[in-house]
Amino acid sequence: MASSIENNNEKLTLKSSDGEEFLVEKHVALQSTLLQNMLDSDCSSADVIPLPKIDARTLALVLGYCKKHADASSSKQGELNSFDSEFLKDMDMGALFNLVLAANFMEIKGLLDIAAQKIADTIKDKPHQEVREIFHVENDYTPEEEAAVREENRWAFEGFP
Amino acid sequence: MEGSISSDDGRDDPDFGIICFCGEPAPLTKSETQKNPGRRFFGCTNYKYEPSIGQARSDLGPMRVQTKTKDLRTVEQWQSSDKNKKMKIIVSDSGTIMDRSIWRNLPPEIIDHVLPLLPVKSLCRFKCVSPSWNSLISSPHFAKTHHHITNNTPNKPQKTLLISSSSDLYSVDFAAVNPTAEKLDFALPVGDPTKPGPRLNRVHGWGSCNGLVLVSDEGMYLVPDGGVTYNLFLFNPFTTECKELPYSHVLDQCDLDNEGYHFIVNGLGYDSSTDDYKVVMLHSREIVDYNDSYILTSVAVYSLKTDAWRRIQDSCYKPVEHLYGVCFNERLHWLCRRTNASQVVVAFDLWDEIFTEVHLPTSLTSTEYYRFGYDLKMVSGSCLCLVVPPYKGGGIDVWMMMKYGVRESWTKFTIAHRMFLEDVLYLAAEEEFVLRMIEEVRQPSREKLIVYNPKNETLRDMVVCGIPTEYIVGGNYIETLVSPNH
Repeated sequence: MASSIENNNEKLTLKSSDGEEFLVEKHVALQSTLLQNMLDSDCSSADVIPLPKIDARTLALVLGYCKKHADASSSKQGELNSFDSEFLKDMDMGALFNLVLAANFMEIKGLLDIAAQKIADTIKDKPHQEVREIFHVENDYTPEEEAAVREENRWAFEGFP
Repeated sequence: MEGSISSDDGRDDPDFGIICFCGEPAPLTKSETQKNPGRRFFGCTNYKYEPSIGQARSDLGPMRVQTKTKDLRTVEQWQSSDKNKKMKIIVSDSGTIMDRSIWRNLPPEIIDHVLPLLPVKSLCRFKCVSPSWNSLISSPHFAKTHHHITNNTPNKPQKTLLISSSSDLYSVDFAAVNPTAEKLDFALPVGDPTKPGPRLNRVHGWGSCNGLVLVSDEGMYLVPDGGVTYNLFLFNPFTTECKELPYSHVLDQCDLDNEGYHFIVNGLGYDSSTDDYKVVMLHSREIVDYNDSYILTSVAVYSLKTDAWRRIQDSCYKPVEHLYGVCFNERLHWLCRRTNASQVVVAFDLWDEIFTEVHLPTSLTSTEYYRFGYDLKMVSGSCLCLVVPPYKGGGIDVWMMMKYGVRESWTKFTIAHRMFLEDVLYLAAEEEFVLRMIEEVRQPSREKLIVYNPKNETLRDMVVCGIPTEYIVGGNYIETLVSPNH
């Protein structure tokens, strides 16, 4: 019943949340553990695999990453590392958040790791007020409570407003 | 927001689970097929495996999504079409998200995957973001996850705690290009004048584990009058959280008429079988019985979880020096002496709480030096190491047990250096040793630090800016959130 996936040149169609469809080679799709499990459990009999949580722009990025990693031979780790850092270089926080969500959903560990690390590197030296903005956290502290927590962690605030 | 942060991984949030193509939630399920027994996969309630071979699945319908193919674009086409566009979806120039509705419920995945990657200093600052961030970052579960990730990072920043003769604490990163001793803005609550009994106000280091450091305010012999004062502290030099351990009744055994023979050493380790930090205290004394004398060591184990000491079976090993138990492989190692005076390295298993002897290289145990020498140093990095000072004019021998518990795996490197070995300070991940040496030929004797790399047999001097003139080693530690108050 799943004879078609035995063929290595088999392509899959992935559909983003906003209705765009992407034709990808099977070996590229296999970078995603989610898709791999689907193929293994014969779910691929669907003509189009919808990914209702991932928009087209993010999916294009994700598949670009997968293609590079699927095509590169294992001996070219250095090349992949420089691709990874270039890949995320000028990406803004919103795009990174989308990438983390997509990589987490599609179970692409390498991409999840680098995107999460990129967010961590971006925020680690920011003041907490700015992090609050970026993550859209409501500040539920009273000024007194916040001052008390800050005092407990005084050492961590050296050089911060 | 708060709810999503405090939930473990968002699995209880239907909005972020895996959704089947049919639109139903698809929980993680285990395969029971003969082809893939035990394989985990996501499947919705419509997905039911028909065990009878050859029979078509009657309920596969909802899994199929029939869409007519139109305008299919490949990844390359997508990339090229987007290449010249600047990605600005929902984010303003200042980097903050404009469309609040999209991220109002920031998915827990973001928090779960990003926060554990942050350094401890950032995390302590971000406790001020909101009460829910504070409780997440302060939770033992998060500390464990964070430590696990830090520990598995290559080139993790490891620091060494030095304690000066005036009990000031210094932190040194020996792996830095220009190592500097930074004084910690933290004083241990030692020498509390309101407590009874004499205090020496001299801090002694008892080793470290996962970023926690164990110190006592009296490292040497017990003071015979005014009762026993011996206070142990467990603290995290990064977060400066500190806890004074309760009194150990193993100290009641002190026969104060015989104080010269009393000997107390400690060690700190982590027991993964119970997810607990344990402090082991050995209280040794030599009992003189008519013409015979024998060693009796009382052993007590402190558990951080229960915050209590337990006395366990006595042992016949007496530590030969006031050195902390070297932790490796969830065992604490001490150089000890048996009643018959021969030296052994003993391992205290933190799981079973029993002592075993470590098989040492035969060529080492056959030397007289080993039998009677007191200067063997132990250190743990990626393996258990023994550093043997020069013997009969030779160099310093560094023994490394490449495979734990296997006598044949001991490998020796010799450092041709004619100086007195005072201490081994540090063993880096690349197996570089930092040795504290004393040049005896000069008067007054001068101390220096050298770095030895056994792989390429290189030796170099190390200068540490701001290092105190007199100090002892408190232990090596990594940056963690692990708290002694959990």
